[in-house]
Amino acid sequence: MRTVAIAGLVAAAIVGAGWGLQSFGLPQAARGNEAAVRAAVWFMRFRLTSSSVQIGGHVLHARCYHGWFDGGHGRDQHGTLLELSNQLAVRDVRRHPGATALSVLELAGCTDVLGPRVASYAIANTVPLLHTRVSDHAALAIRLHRLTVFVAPGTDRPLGVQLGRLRSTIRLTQMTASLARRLKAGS
Amino acid sequence: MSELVLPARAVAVGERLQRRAWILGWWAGGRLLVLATAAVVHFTGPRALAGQAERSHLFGLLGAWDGRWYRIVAVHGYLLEPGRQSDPAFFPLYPLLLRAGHAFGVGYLTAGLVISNIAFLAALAAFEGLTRALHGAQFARRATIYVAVFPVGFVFSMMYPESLVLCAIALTALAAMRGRWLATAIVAAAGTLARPEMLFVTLPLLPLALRERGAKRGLALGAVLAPVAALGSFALYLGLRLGDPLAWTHAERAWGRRFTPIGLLTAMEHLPRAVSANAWVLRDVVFFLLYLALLYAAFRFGAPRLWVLAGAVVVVLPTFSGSFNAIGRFGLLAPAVFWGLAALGTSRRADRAIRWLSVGLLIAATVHLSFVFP
Repeated sequence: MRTVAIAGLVAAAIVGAGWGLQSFGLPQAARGNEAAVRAAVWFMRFRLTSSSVQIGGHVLHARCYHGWFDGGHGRDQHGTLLELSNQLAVRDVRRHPGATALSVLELAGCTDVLGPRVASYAIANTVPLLHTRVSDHAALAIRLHRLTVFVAPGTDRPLGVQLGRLRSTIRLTQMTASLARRLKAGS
Repeated sequence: MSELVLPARAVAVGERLQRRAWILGWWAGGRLLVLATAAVVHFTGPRALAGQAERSHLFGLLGAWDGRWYRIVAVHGYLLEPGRQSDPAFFPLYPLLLRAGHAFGVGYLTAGLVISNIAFLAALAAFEGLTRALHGAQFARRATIYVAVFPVGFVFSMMYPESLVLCAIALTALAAMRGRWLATAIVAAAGTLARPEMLFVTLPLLPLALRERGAKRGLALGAVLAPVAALGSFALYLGLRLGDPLAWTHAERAWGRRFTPIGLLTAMEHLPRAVSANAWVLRDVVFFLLYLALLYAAFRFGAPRLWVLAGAVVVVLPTFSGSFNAIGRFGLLAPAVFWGLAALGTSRRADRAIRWLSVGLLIAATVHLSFVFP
C-alpha cells in the first residue's frame, strides 16, 4: 500500500511539475490566431457562400460553391464555381488559380479558397485582431497580410472579407442536395 | 617551494575525463562532417525546399523540416488546426529549451543547433557509460564511435530533439542501475516531454525497480511511471489550453499517422503507392530492415533482452500508423541497434568497414536533407 502511495505521489508530482513547466514556459497563441483557426474551421465546414460586394456604389451579389463538376470525358473534377448577379460566372478547377481569380474568389468568400489560406497563415504568423463593425453589428477583424476576414465576436463565424479597398459581406449557407444538383447542372 | 595538492576526488574525476577524451574527439569529428556538409550545401547545393529562415543561415539546412515546427511552437505556442498539419504533434521540451536559448539573445535556429549538438556530446558520454556497464569498455568504445558517425546521425545536429532524448534514455538507465530513482524519474519525465519513445525505456528498468524493497520500491515504481505521468502532463496542458487533451495524436493524423492494430499490414499494402508518390520512403524501409537485423545481432550477442525488446518496439511501433516514413530517424532512439552494430564490428576489418561506410553515408545523408525530411 505504501509502495503504491509513494509511486502515485511521484507520478502526481511529475504531472504537476510538467504542466507547470509548460504553462509558464510556453507562450499562449495570440487571440487573433485562435480566432483565425476557428474562422478557418467555419470555412471548411461549408461548401456554399452567398456574398455581397460593393463596387463603385453598386452592390454585386455572388454565390460561391465548392464541389464536383463535369470535367468532360465523363470525369468529374473538383473545383469552385462563382456565380455573379451580373450574369458572369467563374469556374475554377485548377489547384492554383491566378492572382486575379484568387482575389475574386476570396472576396466572394469562397470557402475552399479562404479556409486553407486563413489556416496556413495563422499557424506561422502572429495575427492581429481588431474590434470593428460589419453591417452595423460588432465584429472582429482578423488581419492576414493583405486580406482581412471579419468574424462574429464569440463564435468567430466569418461575416465578411476586405481586400484592399473592396469589402464584402458573406453568409455561409448549408448546402442541400437539390441545390447541389442545380448548381452542378448549371455549371 | 610549495606543492599543489588536489583532492583525491578531483584527481579521480580528472583521470576519468582524460580516459574519455576520445568521446570528445569522435563527437567533434562527426559533427564537423555534418556542419561542414551543411555549410557546403548552403553555398552550392539545391535549396528549392528550404524556407527563408533556412536560406539565410549558414547551417540553415539543419533547421529545416520539423525544425520549423519546433520554432513555431517556441515563438507562437500551440495551436490546433483540425484536419490540417499543426504543431501539437511536436512535444514541448525542445521548444521550451529553444525559448530559454533565445532568452540569451541568440536566434532560435542558433539556439537549437547549440542545444542539439551539446546534448549529443552528453548523449555519447552517457551512452558509453551505459554500454560499458552492460558490455565492457572495448565494446562500449566501438558502439559509441558508431553512434557518433551513424549515417542518420546528422539528425543529432539538427533542430530536432533526438540528441536530447538519446541522452535522457542513457542517463535514465544509468541512474536506475545505480539505484538513483529520483534522478531516474526526473530525467525520464524530461525525455518524454521531448519525444514519446522515452515511454519504452521503462521496459528494461522495470525488473530493476521490482528488485527494490520498502519505500525505495515505491520511488522506483514512480520513476518507471514517470514517462506516463509526463505524457499526462502534456495531455493536461493541451486539454486546458486547446480543449483537446489528445491534440498531439489528432495533429499527427494530418501527417497520415493513425495507429491501428493492422497498421503494419496497411503500411506494407500501401508501400507501392507510397513509393510511386515519394521514392525516398525506400530509404526508411531499408533502415527498418537494417534495424531489425541489428536488433537480432544484439540479441545473439547477448544484449539484455528487455533492451532489445524496447528497441524493437521503437522501430516497429511507428509502422502501425500505416507508414514507414521517418523510421530511419526513430530507430536512433534504440540503444540496442548500436549494440547490434558493435557486435558485428568485433573484427578489426569489420570495424574499419563500418566506420568508413558510416562516415561516407553520413556526408551523403546530410546532403539529402535538401530533398527529403529525415
